[in-house]
Amino acid sequence: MSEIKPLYTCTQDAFYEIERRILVSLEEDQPDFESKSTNYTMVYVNMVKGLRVTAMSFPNEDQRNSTHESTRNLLPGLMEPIKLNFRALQGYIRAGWPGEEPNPRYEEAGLLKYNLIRGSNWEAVEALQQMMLAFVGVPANLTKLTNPGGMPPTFVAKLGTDYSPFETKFNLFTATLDTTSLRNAKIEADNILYKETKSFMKFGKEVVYPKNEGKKERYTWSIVEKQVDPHFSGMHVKTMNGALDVPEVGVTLIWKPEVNLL
Amino acid sequence: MTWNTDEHGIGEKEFEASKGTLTVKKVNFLDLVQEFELEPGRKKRVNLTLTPL
Repeated sequence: MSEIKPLYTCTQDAFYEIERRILVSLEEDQPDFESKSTNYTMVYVNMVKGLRVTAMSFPNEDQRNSTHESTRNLLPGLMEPIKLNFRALQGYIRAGWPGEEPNPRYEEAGLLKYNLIRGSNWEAVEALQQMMLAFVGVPANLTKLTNPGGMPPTFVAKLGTDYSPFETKFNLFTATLDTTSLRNAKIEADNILYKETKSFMKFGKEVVYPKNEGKKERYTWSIVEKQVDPHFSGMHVKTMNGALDVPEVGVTLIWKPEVNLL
Repeated sequence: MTWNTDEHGIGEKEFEASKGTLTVKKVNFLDLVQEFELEPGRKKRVNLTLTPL
């Protein structure tokens, strides 16, 4: 999926602040606009304000990353009960078919998937769960696993309840994995707002206030942009542990400026 | 200018645009030193991988 480019050149935070200021101006000047075109009613003003609220409601990059990372950190703990269930099932298989080589049945119940679970192979956990459910779902297997296997009658239900928390977080993890589509959704909403704003700004400058320099400035993007703190900069640093591929907490970051560009 | 990463491994700080050096330190990891040029009005986003000693 290709990335949609924002139509504005400032930061996203600055964009929303610029929009806020321009919309305050539009609300104040709405009667002047409506006197020149009946399209510019208060309903229109509220519609554009709504576009801004909608655009801002999409999660920004930090929020998207935060959900994705915090969910990923939860998955290892949530898959442990599923692995324990497989080990318990191995015990029921051994006892259910005494005197038989158990490996073929272990494999039928998901042994190869179990062995694939390393670090972040979440798909193997999903496959293991499906294979365990399929194995205990065969009536002949269920009979043997129960007696002489000793499998408690609640075990099949436990497979489901132990998997559910993992499944919920795994689905959230995969949903936030595709950050391009999430980013695009937000930028698309920003661009709709930007186009609409530029449209009424042009009308404001050319039709409503063609000879009023002060009012024209309120509808000139570059002027409003300069009013919104042009000097801030800074850093957003993310540190990962190269060996474990997990975020590294408590890292000290030291910035030493050499030349001030301002 | 010194700050730290949080529980998500993220450290964010606002300051004036400048050219400079970022030093990254943590006990039991190799120090990292990198030069950056920060633009006015934009927060520089940087991903760094630390190598354990």
